[in-house]
Amino acid sequence: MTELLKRRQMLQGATALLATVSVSGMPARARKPKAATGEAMMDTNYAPPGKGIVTGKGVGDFDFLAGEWKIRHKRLKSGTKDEWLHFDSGATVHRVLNGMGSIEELRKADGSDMGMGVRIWLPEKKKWADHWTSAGNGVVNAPQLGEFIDDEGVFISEAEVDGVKWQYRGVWDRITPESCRWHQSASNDGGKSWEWNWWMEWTRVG
Amino acid sequence: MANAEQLRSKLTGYSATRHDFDFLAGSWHIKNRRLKHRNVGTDEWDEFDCPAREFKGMSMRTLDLETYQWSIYWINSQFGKLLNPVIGGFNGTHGLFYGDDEDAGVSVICQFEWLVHPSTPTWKQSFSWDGGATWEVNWVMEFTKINSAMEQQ
Repeated sequence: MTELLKRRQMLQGATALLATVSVSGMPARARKPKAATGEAMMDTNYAPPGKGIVTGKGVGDFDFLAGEWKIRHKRLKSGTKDEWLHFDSGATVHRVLNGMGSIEELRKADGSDMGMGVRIWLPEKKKWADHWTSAGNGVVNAPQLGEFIDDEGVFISEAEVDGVKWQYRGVWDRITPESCRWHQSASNDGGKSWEWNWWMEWTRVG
Repeated sequence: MANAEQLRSKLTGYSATRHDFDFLAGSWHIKNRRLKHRNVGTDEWDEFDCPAREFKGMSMRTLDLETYQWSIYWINSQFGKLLNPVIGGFNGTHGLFYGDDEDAGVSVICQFEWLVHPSTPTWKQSFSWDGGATWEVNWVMEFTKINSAMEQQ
């Protein structure tokens, strides 16, 4: 399992570098070395801690996310398997209902809206419900349910596509007062292996 | 019996735009009147005020850009979950929204009304047990804007 993950991550690192060239479409010498270094330094290693201890308390679990953030994205281009888009954005996150809810406004680098994440603690289910609304259509999606395990917020939903059962997983990890990370991956083998399609590095600016 | 969607389809003159709820941004004092017992024909009301900063729940309103209708979700601080939305739009200063719901296990159509006003808007909730033929108002909220001068007192 660990070997599999490592190989997958190495493979992803390689495709990410290739994709940078093809996406930007600029000759290598025209690219700013600083930006290229920044993209290469995006750490896309992940393995669950594996203890399986529920560390979340429910109300207040998303307090860490309240505030102003700048975010570096590495996102798989829609419809491709290995074309990664690198871009920056910002987010403002509001703590609401005394920690029972959290509302994220995600913006593009130019300040226009990407969407809104609404996270609400469900006391009866003892889970967080994470609803995403894209600014592109204003539709509130059905929630992904999750909880904090081993100090990571793990959200999983399932869907059947063309007869194949997929699991979709969003993870909040590396949570510190000044930074955190979010990534999204999918599995079609019952969670044995995962393919990532989005990484975000969050850095607090306020 | 009609459902919420059928009632919406009969509405004429109601539409939605991105800025419809801009009037509601800010802090408000709310005078609540809530019917004590629903669907029994009584006229006894509970009256209570909401201090502006004490949360009992949260409303979320999103504009669906494909149907151009507002969806209003209520999130109760007891159960957390986003309840079924009421959906609709505005005709001038009158907002009208319908959603299918349940009250004590019985199917109802829930109606929200907004009377838009810059400083004293009003919200009303009514239920219909007969597919929209008759309505009973069961909750009225009268909003009063809290201006910065009042906040400082």
